[in-house]
Amino acid sequence: MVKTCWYYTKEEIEKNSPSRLDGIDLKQETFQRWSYSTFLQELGQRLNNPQISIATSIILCQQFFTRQSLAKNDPKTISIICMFIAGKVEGSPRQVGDVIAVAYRVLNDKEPSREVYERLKETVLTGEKLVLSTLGFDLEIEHPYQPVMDWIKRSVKVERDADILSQAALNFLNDGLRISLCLQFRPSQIAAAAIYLGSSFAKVKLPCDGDKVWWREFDVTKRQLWEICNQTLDLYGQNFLIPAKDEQKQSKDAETISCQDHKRIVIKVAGKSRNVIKVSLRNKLSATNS
Amino acid sequence: MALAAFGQLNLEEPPPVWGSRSVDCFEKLEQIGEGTYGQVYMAKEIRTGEIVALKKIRMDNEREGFPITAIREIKILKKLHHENVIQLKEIVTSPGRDRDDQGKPDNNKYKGGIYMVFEYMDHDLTGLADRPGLKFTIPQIKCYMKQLLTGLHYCHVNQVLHRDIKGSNLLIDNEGNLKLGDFGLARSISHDHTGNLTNRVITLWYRPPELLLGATKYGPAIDMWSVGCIFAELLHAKPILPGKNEHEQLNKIFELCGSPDENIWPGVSKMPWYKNFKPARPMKRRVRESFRHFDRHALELLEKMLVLDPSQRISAKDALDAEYFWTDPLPCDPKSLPTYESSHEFQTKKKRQQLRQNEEAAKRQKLQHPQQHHSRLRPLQHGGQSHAAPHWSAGPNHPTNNAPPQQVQAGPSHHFYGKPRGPPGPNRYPSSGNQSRGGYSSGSYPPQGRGAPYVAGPRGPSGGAYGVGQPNYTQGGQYGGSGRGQNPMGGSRNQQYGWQQ
Repeated sequence: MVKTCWYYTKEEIEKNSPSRLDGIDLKQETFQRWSYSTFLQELGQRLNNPQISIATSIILCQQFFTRQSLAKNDPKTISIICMFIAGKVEGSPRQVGDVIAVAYRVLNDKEPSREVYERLKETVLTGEKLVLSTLGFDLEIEHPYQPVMDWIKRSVKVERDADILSQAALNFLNDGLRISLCLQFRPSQIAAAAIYLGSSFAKVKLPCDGDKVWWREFDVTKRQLWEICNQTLDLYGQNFLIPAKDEQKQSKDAETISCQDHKRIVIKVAGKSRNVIKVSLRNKLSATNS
Repeated sequence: MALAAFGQLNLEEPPPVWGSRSVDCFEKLEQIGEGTYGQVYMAKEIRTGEIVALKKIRMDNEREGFPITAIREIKILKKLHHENVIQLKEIVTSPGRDRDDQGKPDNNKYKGGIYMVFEYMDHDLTGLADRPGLKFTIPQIKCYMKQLLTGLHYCHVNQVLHRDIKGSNLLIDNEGNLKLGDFGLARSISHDHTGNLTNRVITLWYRPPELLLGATKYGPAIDMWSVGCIFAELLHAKPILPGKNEHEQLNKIFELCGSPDENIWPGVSKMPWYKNFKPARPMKRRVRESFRHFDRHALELLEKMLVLDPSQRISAKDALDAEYFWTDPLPCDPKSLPTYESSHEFQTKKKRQQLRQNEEAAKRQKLQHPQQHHSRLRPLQHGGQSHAAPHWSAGPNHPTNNAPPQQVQAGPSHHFYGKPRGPPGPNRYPSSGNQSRGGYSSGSYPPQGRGAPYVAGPRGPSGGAYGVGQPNYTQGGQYGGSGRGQNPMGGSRNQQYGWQQ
């Protein structure tokens, strides 16, 4: 079976997506991507799914919307379906009923009525075929987690450094799922960038082996590394204002999604001094500062 | 255009061009299989005229949607590309209004079935071996064995365990090519050897001792045991270890290979079920004695395959280097092998019906039928001659066949595509009795199911899609990152994701 290529240029993603052809603008799509990825992370954790399975669900969902439009497919329902499929794909299946019930709770903070539950279940089971078919049954999803862990284990000998670096890199990987990196770059390339960002953030020096740059084995160019780092860091600068309609929730909604903890760090990417970027790294701080 | 409403899905449009095609691209020619797994059709791709096998993925009993076993099989098959591994060509979906689906017609594009499209194979090894009067030559057996080992070596290199190696899963086309089929039980063992694997795999007769003793950590050696069983079966012309249940299976293994102890198999006494199955008295290894009619190199290789301790069992790679494959008579070129008329369900079915009528007529005349001995003919021992058609008496479906009708037992050779799993299947050898049904069609025919008993196999009808075989699943987020356990954003609402109700 011919394997389809699931990689696109940034321009293809931004200009030619099916959603764009249906009149949904880039900002909206970027925001939706952020929303369903965040939702899937939360849903997966509530379901006690392994991170691999969560990451797979997010990537499946992103891939789905490279072929189908947000105007015709509700991203919440598609995310729920992707979580259901990802569980099976990664060998940690969750029953459809559980996925639906937990998803409904996460979305609405209440239990679904019997009728709503049944209808949603029907939709998910029918939609499963739509998603599988749209994805052409390409279900082997690779992740950057293992390359990151393997490399750190091999290359960083001080245990404490390795721990801090792993943690920081993994956080960048998980956060990076919310943007379209997985549609542009291969897992090993994303892995290299996460190590780089992690080391800058955790102030762990990366080994230098003469002329051989450390990222060579990740099959990534300087330019790609720079691009991935940039896009990842932009994530923390994005201010997604939650559209608020509900008066009572006004105060909470007024907050921007980029978070409370802002930290200024200087990141030098590929030898160039990049601007000082506002980075909100939430709970990461506690892990890396300790 | 606004965003889709909650629950809205694009179900009306046909799948986008990059997605799976419709089954309408194929013309179903005939049904060639029927099993618990689903129906199998021989079909023609309309555009190209190419003949393929369509395996319908059964969904009607799946409360959990698309079966996880099918997902696993698809993932593995998409990864494997080798001339000795069955090729999954594509996956197609049928529109809602499907002839095979009962129930009310539905225009919904995604209510219909899903089919896996495979290259078409004419036979399976068991079906071929069971043809009355058919003898495999030594170069032919070497040729099949070499292909089997080559395909399996490829799987093992790619960290895939087949976990159901047996004759009916070894498909053979009319060009002499052998391919591994049915990856429904296969398992990827990539970078998590720590996980527990189910030991309820591999058809009983081909199941290695470590699984029977309850091992949940195992590797490629399990497939090599099955290969040993098949190898001996080809030379011996009948299955060598036809146990009826797990206990008997283990006993048969011990009777042939000796009973294991800490000397020959370090660690065996710590196997989970060792105490339950420990034979009362030690038994001697009798492989050499039992198969003394095999040639020296064959016996040498078989001895290395049927090793009780999996860590000492020969690997596929090393087996390919065995003297056996490099001494005269050499394995023949697949292309030099004779072609056989493929036996499709509809042909054999008709013939069987005819046969039954004949038999009944005969019974009415109180004619005693001779016991049908259907053991295969042993291979021709002389090598080096041409292996073309003259050596082969024609199969029962051959037009020139003169064989008496009651010998028509070579069933359809399509077990791989859809065979019954679950309760012990019928035995292909009359002496062991004919239970229930087998093959693809309803089971009123003479023995046709070639599946050895599949005791409590993971795909038995009682086993739910999630019952077994998920042992590698590690709970908890190994890559969870820090501080992700709690929702960093506070409440759990639509708002948090920017979604409004």
